[in-house]
Amino acid sequence: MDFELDERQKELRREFEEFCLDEDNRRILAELADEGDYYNAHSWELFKKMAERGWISLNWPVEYGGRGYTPEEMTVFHETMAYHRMPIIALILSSLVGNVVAYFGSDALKAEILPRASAGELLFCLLYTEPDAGSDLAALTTRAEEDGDYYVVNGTKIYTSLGHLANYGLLAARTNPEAPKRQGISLFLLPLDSEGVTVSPIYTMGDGRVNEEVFTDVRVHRDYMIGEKDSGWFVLTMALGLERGSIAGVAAQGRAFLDGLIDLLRETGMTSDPVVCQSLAEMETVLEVSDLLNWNLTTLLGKGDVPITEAAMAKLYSSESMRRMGSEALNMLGFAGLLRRGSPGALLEGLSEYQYQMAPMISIGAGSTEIMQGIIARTGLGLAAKG
Amino acid sequence: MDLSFNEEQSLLRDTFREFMGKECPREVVERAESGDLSVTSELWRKMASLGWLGLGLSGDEESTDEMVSICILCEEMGRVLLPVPYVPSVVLGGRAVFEGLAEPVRSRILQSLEAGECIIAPALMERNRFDGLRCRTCSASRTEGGYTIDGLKRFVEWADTADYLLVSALTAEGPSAFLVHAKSPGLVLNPLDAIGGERLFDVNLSEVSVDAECRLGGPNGGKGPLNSAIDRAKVALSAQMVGGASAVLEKAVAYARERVQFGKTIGSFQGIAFPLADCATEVTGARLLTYKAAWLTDRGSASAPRFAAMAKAYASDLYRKATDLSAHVHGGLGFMMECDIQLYYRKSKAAELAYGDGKYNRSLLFGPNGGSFASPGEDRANDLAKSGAKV
Ligand SMILES: Cc1cc2nc3c(=O)[nH]c(=O)nc-3n(C[C@H](O)[C@H](O)[C@H](O)COP(=O)(O)OP(=O)(O)OC[C@H]3O[C@@H](n4cnc5c(N)ncnc54)[C@H](O)[C@@H]3O)c2cc1C
Repeated sequence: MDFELDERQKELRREFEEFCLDEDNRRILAELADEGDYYNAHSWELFKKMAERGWISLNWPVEYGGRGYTPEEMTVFHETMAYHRMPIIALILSSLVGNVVAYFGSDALKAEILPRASAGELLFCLLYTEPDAGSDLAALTTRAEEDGDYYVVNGTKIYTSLGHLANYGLLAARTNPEAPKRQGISLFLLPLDSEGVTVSPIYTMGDGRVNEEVFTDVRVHRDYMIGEKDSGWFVLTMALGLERGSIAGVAAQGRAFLDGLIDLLRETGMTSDPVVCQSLAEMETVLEVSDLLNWNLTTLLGKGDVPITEAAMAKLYSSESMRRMGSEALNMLGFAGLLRRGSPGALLEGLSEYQYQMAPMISIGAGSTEIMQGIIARTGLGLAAKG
Repeated sequence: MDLSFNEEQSLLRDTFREFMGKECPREVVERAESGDLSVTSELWRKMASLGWLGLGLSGDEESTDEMVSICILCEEMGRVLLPVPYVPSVVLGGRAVFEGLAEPVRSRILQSLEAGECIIAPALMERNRFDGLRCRTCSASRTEGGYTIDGLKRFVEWADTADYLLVSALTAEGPSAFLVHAKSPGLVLNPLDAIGGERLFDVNLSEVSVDAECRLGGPNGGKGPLNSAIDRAKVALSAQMVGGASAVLEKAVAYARERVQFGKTIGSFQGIAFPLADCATEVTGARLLTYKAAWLTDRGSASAPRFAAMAKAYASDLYRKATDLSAHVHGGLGFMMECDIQLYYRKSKAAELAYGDGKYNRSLLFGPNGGSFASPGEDRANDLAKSGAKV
């Protein structure tokens, strides 16, 4: 056992940290925060700077411009970025889609996507969820019908993060309606400027937005298909696992929030209240455990395992603890905690209300709490139906 | 960063597990509970002959992972409820002697501890619950060649079996502790009868004299070595509780996979499966937190005491939840003496309370006066500076 970063990881951490603390970059972050929509915060300027350092493609295979980073190094990266509140969703999506394209994409697609993506010129989104297919993703009904070298896409996707900014979307669509539901799905990397795509906003708590995409006879060339026809479910399962791994690293945002909260409560003398102290100690402990579960997952990924149960544990625990923390913090801060960034008397630059408003999303996105519990029960504990 | 056991540690775990499986079936636990001390002596002798009672007391700077090894042992002990005074006598008592007493007493006692010929029973409490080093009635006053101690110590486990008691008492220089012969004149034991079959005693000390060299930390000291020994005991006991919690969880899962109602195994109902999934997650978390505390202890990290408190708080709460859940998943059977769970359910409470429950240990992290430790921020910054570890 070893609970410390090794020399190279420490060095990387310093490099990432330096970037996050750079004055010019802090200024960009503050401007983004003033725009209000932290969830979708994106700055091409920051993104390009990261790309110059090779950070968009850190864990892609080396032959496609990646730096072949290990899972440990990726966790250091995601944690550091999340701790310093760098916009992280775009980074997670690029690392994910880049890998999917590198491993399963056609040569034409690789050539079109990978160089531009690693240069920080492209944004991606995930087109999975539909009005009638959420947790039960395999029930999706968006159709992609073969027509010569093309597929014709019809259907509706919802709740898409970054959908309004993205250039391409990783689309799950049904290519074979006759097959059993997991065997008739294919994946495409759909150019979102294709004719027949309409994107409209769905507004969220926390001043954010996700999107609805309606596809009407959208023609997409078969070169944009990822993997074999009808075998999308396999790739999808892998991609979902990758996503869960990186989501858990985002819990570092909670760490940053708690550090700020503790400082604030100390300054205002609130830590003389034993009830507040109990809550803080509980949050501190729970975040430590959350961090350890994430590193446990990272350790196993680093050894080349496929830790399905541990990924679910990390996602379940970190999202449930963040969810509780959002509300608990407001109970400590009282009314001042409800004030938005920019309001007179706002605390922690409005992060307190933000943490609270985001809580309902954390336990739903990237696989809900109940879906994680189901995975742990079935895969980890062997509690499938029998008898 | 590598949160899994290395080869040596896995091997150690297998060795311990094999021993526990062979030496401690349920019947052994029951015999010990009914007062049969011979099972404890027999287990103790075997553990000594395997060299396990010297862990953490070698003073060998090279063996950096001693506390981790102790936790591996304790986790396996906890799984089977091994009826031996390992944590109080070796981890707490032994360490207090190791850090707090001078030669030649120190080596003499450590050698007999390691050989399994001596048991130390810490006598730290004066009220109904653990309260750190605070002494309310028990005091030690200086005499010609040493001290006399007066007062009442409560809930002292293994006091009748022990050769020495480690008694905390107020001195002119503040709280300290003394290694007191169990057979000293003026020392009277009153047996208590607790639900887990713990060998608990109230200990009355009236003009008990001890030699000067039996004071921990020399003529003016005591606090440091005692606190450090208590922190280690917290970590070791956390590991024991993690072992117990894993065992009750495994038993519940096994039952949920077999028991059929409404034509299905009960484990296929989400009302049963989901709490078990949560519990499995928290057991994993508690284990990692405990080993991190142990690992930091082995490296003398400034944040080791905070992590000891965190681990004890988390593992205590978890063990209670896990035993309660496991009994519940077993239905009516979970309430019956024939079911193993009752053993864990009854015994878990004393472990939860020992060295402070969740609330007590959390109050050490953030207290009215800023808590007992440096602020976590400072602490983390120090550790970061020292080791480059993560924030
Ligand atoms: C902010 C945000 C961003 C998102 N971004 C994206 C994105 O970029 N791309 C994308 O494709 N999707 C995205 N999603 C969608 C997300 O993946 C889905 O919301 C999620 O999968 C749940 O689906 P649902 O909303 O239809 O809820 P449902 O599946 O209808 O679930 C409703 C409730 O029922 C529970 N439930 C469902 N099935 C079971 C079961 N078998 N056992 C027990 N309980 C169950 C769920 O846990 C939940 O509590 C996003 C969602 C949010 C909130």
